[in-house]
Amino acid sequence: MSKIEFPLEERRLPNGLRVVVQEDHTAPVAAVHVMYHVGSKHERPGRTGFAHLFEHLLFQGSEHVAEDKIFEYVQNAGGTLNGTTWFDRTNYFETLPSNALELGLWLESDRMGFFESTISHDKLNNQREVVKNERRQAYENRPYGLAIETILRLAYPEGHPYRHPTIGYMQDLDAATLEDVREFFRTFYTPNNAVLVLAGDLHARGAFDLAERYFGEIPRGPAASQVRAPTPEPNEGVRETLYDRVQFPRVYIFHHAPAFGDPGFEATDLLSYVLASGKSSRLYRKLVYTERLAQDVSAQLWPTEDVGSSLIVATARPDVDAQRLEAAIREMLDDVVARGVGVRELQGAKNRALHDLVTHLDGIGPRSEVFATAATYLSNPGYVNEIFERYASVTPEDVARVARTWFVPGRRVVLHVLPQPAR
Amino acid sequence: MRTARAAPARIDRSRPPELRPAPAIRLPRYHRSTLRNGLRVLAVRHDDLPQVAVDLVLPVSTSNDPPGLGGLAVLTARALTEGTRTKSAQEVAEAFDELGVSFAAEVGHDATVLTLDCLASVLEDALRLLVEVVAEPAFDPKEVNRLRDERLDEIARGMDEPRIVANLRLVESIFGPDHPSGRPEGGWKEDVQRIDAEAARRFHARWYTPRGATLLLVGDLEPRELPGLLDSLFGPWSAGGSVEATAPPEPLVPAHGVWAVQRPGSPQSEIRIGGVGIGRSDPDYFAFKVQNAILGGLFNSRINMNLREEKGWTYGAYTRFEARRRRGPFYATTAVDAAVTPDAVAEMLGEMERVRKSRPREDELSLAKNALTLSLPRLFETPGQVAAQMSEQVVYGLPEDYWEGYGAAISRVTAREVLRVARRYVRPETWPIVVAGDVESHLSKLARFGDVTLEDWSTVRAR
Repeated sequence: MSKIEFPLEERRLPNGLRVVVQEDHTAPVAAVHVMYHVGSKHERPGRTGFAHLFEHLLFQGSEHVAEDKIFEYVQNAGGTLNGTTWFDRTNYFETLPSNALELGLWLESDRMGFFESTISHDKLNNQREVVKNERRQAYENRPYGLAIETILRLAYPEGHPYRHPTIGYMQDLDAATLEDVREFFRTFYTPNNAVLVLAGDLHARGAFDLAERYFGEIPRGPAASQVRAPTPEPNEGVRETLYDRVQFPRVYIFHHAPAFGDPGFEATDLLSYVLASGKSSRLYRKLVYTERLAQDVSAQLWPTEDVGSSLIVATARPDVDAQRLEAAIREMLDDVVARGVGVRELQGAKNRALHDLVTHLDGIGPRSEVFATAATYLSNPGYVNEIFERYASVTPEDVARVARTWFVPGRRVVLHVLPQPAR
Repeated sequence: MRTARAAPARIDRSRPPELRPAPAIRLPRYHRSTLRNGLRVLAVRHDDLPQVAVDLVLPVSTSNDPPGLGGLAVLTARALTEGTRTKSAQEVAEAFDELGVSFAAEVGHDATVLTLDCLASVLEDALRLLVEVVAEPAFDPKEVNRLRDERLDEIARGMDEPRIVANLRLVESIFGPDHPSGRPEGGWKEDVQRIDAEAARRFHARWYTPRGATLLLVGDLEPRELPGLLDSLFGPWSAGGSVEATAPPEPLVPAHGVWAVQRPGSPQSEIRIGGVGIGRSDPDYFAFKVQNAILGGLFNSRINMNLREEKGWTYGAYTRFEARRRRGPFYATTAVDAAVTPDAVAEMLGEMERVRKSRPREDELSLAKNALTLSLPRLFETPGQVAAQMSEQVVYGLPEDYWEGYGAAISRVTAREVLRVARRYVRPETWPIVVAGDVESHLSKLARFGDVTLEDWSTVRAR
């Protein structure tokens, strides 16, 4: 593959806001992306889900942007917008026709600089209900929906920052107060705790000028105390069974893993590809095709700032029990740990991973998010340009090493989700 | 503390910045050709990154499922990659995976689209594989039977999901179980069980021919060099006569009533209210689209603002429609806190009543039109997006300059027309209402909206 490089420029405003700009004139669109270095791992005990609830409140208007107008402004300009909350960060972004770049800056700077006076009980209570319904819709009323939060509770010890899900628990959502909102905003929503990415059909100099004009006057805040999520001590065979309203057992095998940007992250990701991406991958071939134990199988590695989380998930076929399915997966993991992976299957995994990367980075919206993530976690937005080479240079020995380090019983949590016994 | 430095001129934050005129949309420049085997080719250069999106659009769909064999079009498409004349299923899988090529077969109610995405460096090998699976699939009984079992598993697994049950129940209530639009694309158990390798082989021989199909290529490529390469690659695919798309029968008027699916302990209820919408070539298409954006197509649409932003009853409430060769479904969809189930139905019906009663406000109309037209540049950003838009043009026979005229067609829609199409198409008094959740305690209230048919979750699962 020919070398891919996204030339980017970076400046820091006097108030500490890091600004990253990348010109790309392929299509007449521009992306505005603001990432704050705060996520669910920064939440206080008893306030799980707060970072995400707070994200919702930032769509409820600010001093110059009336309630419910933010979507209207962006859609009237032909743009799209959203926000997401993750363990380590929260982001807000618009993709707009390039003439509306300045609109995005106006909206995002109003959020950062002029939000606090506009919060109210009504807004908090309304969005609290919306988020509780999000929890019901995406987790509680969905088959297997509570598996991930169960795994996090088993994988990380009491008090660990990654122990709870970003959506949070119902009683904690109920407990959130306006005072929490103010304190959270003052602590974390400061220019010195954020990255602004501008990408697409724009001119770098003009983009920096606009960033300065809109964000320059927002005062620096106190340094947000950052939270590190440590790698837990190896455990001894953690497992649990969860009953749900499902017809088919599902097996979840979790392993601790390297963090995004750590040595071994790419090798672990490629191991996930070898295991379960594509119909020739090891677990698909064994579980779905040859032995026909599973309806589906997937393997993923979450890009977290601190210790990583990897997950293998397989759903049993009719009349296959969870033990049998789990044993088959473990057999394959043991084989990878003992014998490593072959040159040819690794090359295929790289080709798939590189293709996925190119596809992902093609849109300026997702590309801006990768710049912002690299800036937030690693203080190095240009890391994006190193990723291709990092994947390409992984050797079979690298994969064998991460398998031996991470895909072992002491790093493992097993969850079986089983059909509820008939009442 | 601010660093000492000349503060930039204060900006006026009290109003949004004046925007320059919207940028001209860079629409794809098509290079057309026809291969010796009759396959039409449309190629577009879009080369910011070294990748190519390929769509093979075939005029074969669920409408071609023989009676009693619903799901055959889907199963045939899935079987393409499960072995060819010269490769086993596993060898085909290895060939795609080693190149890093992603392949997907999407069978809809109007067409089949085989999508192949790859890095530009492996395009030729990827296309060779595409030709092989399209022209020479083996349909080994062992593999087809396995795929049939997988489809049966998939049906059963879907029945665990309230949202899927509600969707399926809605289209069945709208179109009836005998209409292709009334059942899942992949078919129901009763039909799927009858599918075998011979049926798939016959279906393939009848419908998978180059005459009538269109190949779209978008990305880092040189359109002028393609025809020669494609002629040699696609040479082996020559069988069969000319094929034209088959339209499904016209839908009947749906049955009004409440279909309640009782699922004890569900924290939310999935609600669907809808009926037969619009066809893709209907002259009302543009006005319909604007009307939908006002009622429920956008975040700021009436239904979401009411149920989510005002009441907090849901994470989101929207209206959706699929404009097909024939009139497709048009419906409101949401999942609400179980406690407010009947109230939510009443509010949704109230919004439908309101959109039928009076013209939209000027600001609503302009928001809907702006959102639909000014968003075009975003829809042509990546090769995959460009290919998807082109594939819609091919399937529905839209003119090559369709997108040039699209903005003007939307802009011409008036408030009066929105009211007219709302009155014509928003017909909740004739529509089924589907509610899946813990509904037993709400039955008397739900009966206000129509005759209630109550089903238990366990009987739904038996499908």
